[in-house]
Amino acid sequence: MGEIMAPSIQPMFNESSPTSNGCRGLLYALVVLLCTVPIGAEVELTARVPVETIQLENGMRFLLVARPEMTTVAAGWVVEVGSADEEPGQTGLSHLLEHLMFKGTRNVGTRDIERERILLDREDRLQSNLRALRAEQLEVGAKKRTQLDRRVGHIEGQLNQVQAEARSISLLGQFSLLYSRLGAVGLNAHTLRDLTFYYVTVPAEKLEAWFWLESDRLLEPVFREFYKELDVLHEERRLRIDSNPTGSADEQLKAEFWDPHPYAWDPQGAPEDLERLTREAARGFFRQHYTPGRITAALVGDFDISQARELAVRYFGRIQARRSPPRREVPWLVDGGKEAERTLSLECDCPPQVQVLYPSAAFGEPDSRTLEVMAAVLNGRSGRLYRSMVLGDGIAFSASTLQSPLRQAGYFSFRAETKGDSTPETLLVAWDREVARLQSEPVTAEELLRAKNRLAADSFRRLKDPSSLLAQLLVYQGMGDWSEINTWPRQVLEIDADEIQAAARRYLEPNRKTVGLYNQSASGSPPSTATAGRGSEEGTP
Amino acid sequence: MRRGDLSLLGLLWVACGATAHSADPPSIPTSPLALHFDDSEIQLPKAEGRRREIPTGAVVYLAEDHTLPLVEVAVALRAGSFLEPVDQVGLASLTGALVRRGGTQARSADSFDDRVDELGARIQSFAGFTRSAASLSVPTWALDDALDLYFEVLSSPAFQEDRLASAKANLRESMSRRDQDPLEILDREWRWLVFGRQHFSSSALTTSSLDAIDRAAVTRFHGTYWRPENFIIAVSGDFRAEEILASLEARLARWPNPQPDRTRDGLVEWPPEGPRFEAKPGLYHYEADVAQAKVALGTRLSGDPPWDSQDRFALEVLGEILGGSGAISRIAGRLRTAEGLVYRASARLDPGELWVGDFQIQFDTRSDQVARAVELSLEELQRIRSQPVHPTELEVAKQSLLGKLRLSFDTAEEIAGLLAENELLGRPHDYWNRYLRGIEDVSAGQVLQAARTYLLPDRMLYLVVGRWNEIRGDAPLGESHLEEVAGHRVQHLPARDPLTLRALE
Repeated sequence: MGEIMAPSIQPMFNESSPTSNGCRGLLYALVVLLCTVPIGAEVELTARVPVETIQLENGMRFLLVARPEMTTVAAGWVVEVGSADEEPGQTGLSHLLEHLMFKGTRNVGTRDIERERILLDREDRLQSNLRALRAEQLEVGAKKRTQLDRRVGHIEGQLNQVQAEARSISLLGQFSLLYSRLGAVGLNAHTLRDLTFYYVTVPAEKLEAWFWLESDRLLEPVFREFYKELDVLHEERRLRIDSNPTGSADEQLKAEFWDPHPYAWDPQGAPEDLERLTREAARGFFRQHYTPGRITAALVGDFDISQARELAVRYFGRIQARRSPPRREVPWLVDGGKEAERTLSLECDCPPQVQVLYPSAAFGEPDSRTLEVMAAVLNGRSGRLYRSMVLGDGIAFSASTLQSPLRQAGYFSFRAETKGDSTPETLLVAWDREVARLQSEPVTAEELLRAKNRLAADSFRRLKDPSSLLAQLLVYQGMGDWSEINTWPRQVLEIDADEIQAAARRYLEPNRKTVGLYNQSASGSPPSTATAGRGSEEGTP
Repeated sequence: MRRGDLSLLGLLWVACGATAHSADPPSIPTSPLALHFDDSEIQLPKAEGRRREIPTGAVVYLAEDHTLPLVEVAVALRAGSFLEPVDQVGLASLTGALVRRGGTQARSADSFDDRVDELGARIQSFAGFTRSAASLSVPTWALDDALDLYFEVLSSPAFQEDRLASAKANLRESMSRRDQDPLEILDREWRWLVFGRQHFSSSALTTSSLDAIDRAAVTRFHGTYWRPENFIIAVSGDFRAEEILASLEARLARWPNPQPDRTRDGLVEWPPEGPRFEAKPGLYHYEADVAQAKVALGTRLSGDPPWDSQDRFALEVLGEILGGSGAISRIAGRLRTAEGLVYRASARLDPGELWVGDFQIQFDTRSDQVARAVELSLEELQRIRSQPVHPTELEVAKQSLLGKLRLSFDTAEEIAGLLAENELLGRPHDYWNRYLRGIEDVSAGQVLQAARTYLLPDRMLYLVVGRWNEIRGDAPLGESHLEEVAGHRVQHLPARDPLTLRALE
C-alpha cells in the first residue's frame, strides 16, 4: 500500500499545479489525494473527503463538508431506521412516517393546534370504528350487511364533518411551501431497508432556515392528513411495483431470497398492511426510533464551519436525548442458511430476463469491496459480460452484475435481458459459464487494471455533485459508518486477482443461488411502465 | 369553505407568520421567515473571458475549477433528426450513438474500449432531434492521453460493421418492446396528437427506416456534420485555460478534409422549423392492461414568444404555480396533497427553445379515479383563469424559479455547459440576466393574462392509456363520466404494431 503524501486539508484551491508524474503538489479543495503504488503503468490516486464532525450532547451527529466555491448548501439528515425495523403485519410504516414528516408541526401547517389535535383524535376514533365495521361487513350475510351499511354511512358522515373542520384549520403543504419561498430546491426523502434520509438544497445565506425547519419537525411533528396519505401510498405502490414491468416479479424474488429476514419485504409495504396502519402507530414509531442518538445530519456547500456548529447546538440541541432500543439484528448466515439452489418461474409484463441472487458480504466488510471490483471486471464496455453476451453471442440486450451491501447482510446479483431468440435459460447457462471462469482462473492483470482505474476515477466523480455527495454520506452513515467513503477507494486498490477468485469461489456457489426466470405472462397482456434493467449500454440512442 | 381555497389560506398564514410569537426560546423565532438573512444577489456568470474561438471554427467555453482532479469536455453540434432524409429516420441518432462505439481508423472498437477504461476515462456520444454531442470525463493525470483518444474517435470513427449490426439488433429489440411501457405510449401518442406525425420531433424509428441505414450512410452523415466548424465545446474542471486551448487547437487542426472557409452557418440552416400542425381537441384513449391509468391533458401553446418577451416570463411563473414545486403546486397540491388521488402529478408550460411547446398536465391514478382527477384539474384551470394569484403565491413561485436558476449555475460544469447551450441555440448570452429581471417583474395581472391566453378549455386534448372499461365511469345519461367531464365523445386510438407503428386491425 502506498504512502500518504498530502495528509493535510487544504481549505482553498492551492496554486501549485497538479502534475501527472508524481504526487507532490496534489492539493485540491475537496479532497486530499492519496498516492498509492502505481499499478501497471498508471499512477493511482484516490479521493479522501475532508469531513468535520460534531456531536451534540443529546447524541446527534453532524458531518460538515465546506465547499466555498458554491453558493448553495446541500443539507440533510439520516435516521437509522428503515423497513427492516418494522414488525411483520406493520410493513410500510417507516415509509408512511417519512411521508408524514412533510405534514408540518405545531408551528408549521396550522392556525389552531389545540383545536386541531382534538379533531385529529376524533378522526382516529371514527376511522377505527369504520375499519372494524368494514371488516365485519366482509364476514356477515346480506341482511346483517344492510344494517351495517347504515352504520357505516352514519360514521362516514361524521367523519366528513370532522375532516372538513380539521382542514379548515390546517394549512396544506405549508412545510414545503416555506422551503420554496426561501428559494430552496429539491426537497425530498427516501426510505430504504436500513435507513431513512431527508434532504434539500438551500441558498447559502438562508442556511439557518434549514436548521429552523428541520429541528422543528424533529421536535414536534404533526401527522396531518393521515388517511389521505395512505391513499397516496397505495398510488405510489401501484406506480413503483404494480405497474412497473418487473415490479411484482422482483418483489417475489426478493421475498423468497431473504425469507425469513426482515429484508424480505419492500419498504413500500404490503397493501393489506397499509390498511392496518394507524396514526398512533406512526407516533410510536417516531418516538421510538427518531431519537437524536440515531440521527446524523450533513451539510455540503458554502458555509462557515464554526457558525454551523453554533446553529447546530442552538437548534438541534433543543431535542431531548431519548433512549432507543438496540436495532433488531436478524442473523443471516452467508455460509449457513439455505443450501439448495432455488429457481422461481416468474410472470411479468416485461422483456424475458433472468436475475440471479447470491447472499454476500454486508456493508463495510472487506469482501464487499472485493465483490465490487469483481463486478467492475464483469461490467462496462470492456467488461466480460458485454463482450461475451451482448456482442459475442448476441444473446443479451443488456447484462450486468451488482454487489449490494446492506447493513446486516448483502447480496450479489446478475441480471440480463434476452435478445432475439434467446431465453432466460440461455442467459443463465452463459452466466454459469462466466462464474466457472471466475472460479477456475484469476482475472488478468489488464482486466484488473481497467477495473481499478475506473473505480479510482469514479471515486472522484461521485464527489462532483454536492447533493449526491450528501446522499452518500447519509446513506453510509445510516448503514453504519460514513467514513466508508474514504476507506473504500484505498482498499479497493489493494485487492488482487487471487482475492477475486477466492470471493467467486466463496460467494458464487451454485447451491447458494436464487434464480428468477422472468417470462411474459401467459395472458399476453402487454404493457407496463418504464423499461427495467440497469446497465443497458445499447438502448435507444 | 371551498376546497379550492385551501392553498390560498396556507399562503396567507405565511404572510403573517413572520410576526407571530410563542413561548420558544427568544433566539428562535416562530417562523423561519422571521430570521434575518443577508441580502444576496444572484451572480450570473458572464460569457466574456470564457468564450474563445479556435482558428478551425470551433467555439470553446471554459470554466476552471480545481476542486477535484477531473476534467470534463463536451462537444455539441447542430446536427440531429432534422437533417435526416425522410426514409432514413434514425440516421442521426444511430450515427451519434456509434461514433463512440465503432472504433477508429487506427484502433479496433475492442481496443478503444479497453484504452478508455485503462485511463479511467468516460467517453459518450449521442444525438437527438436538433443536436448531437460527445462528452469526455477524465482524471487530470490522464488528460492528454484521453484527449488523443477522444478526438481520434470524433474525427475518424470507423463505424465497425459488427458494432453497427449489434447496435441495430439492440434497437430492434427495444422497438419490439415499445408497447410494454404505458408511459412511452402516452408520450408518443401525445406528441402525435399535439404536434402531428410529420415533424421530425415526432418521427419514430421503424424496421424499414432502420433497414435503410447502412455503414455508408452513417459515415456520410458523420463526415458532413461532425466537423470542427460546427463544434461548440464546453470545458470545465482541473485545467489551465491556455494549455487546454493550445491542446484543443492542435487536435482540431489535424481534422481530415479541412475546410478552412466554411462556418457553422454555412453548414447547417438554423434554427430548424417547428411543427406546423393543427391539434384536434378531443378525448382520446389507448387500450393497455395496466394497474394504473396514465393520463395527459393540455394543449399546444400558440404564438412564438421571443427570448426576452415578458409573456415568456409570465408563462414561466404560471407554469411554476401550476406544476413547479412538487406537492405544493396547484395541480399536485389538489390531486395529491388535498385529495390523495395520485402519487405523481406534474404540469408544464413549455415556451420552447426553438419552437413553442405545449401545456400538459400528467398523472397516474387508479382507473376508477381518472374522471374525478380530470375534473379537479379542470377546476384548477378554471380557478387560475378567473382570479389573480395571491401575492404570496406569486412570490413563492418567483423565489422557487430563481432558486432553480441559481442552482443551475452552481458548478463549473454547469456554467460552461449553459454558456455553450446559449451558443448552440442562438440564445443571447444576457438572456439569463433578462430572465432574472423578467421573473422578478412578473405581476399577478400578467399571470392572469397568460392563463387566459394560453390555457384554453375549448382547445384541450385528453389522452388516457389504460383499461377503458374501468376508466370510463358511469354517468346518468349513458355517456361515460369521463366523457361528460371532458365534454367529448371518446375516440379509441388503434393499437399499433410495435415494430412498424402501423395501426393494427
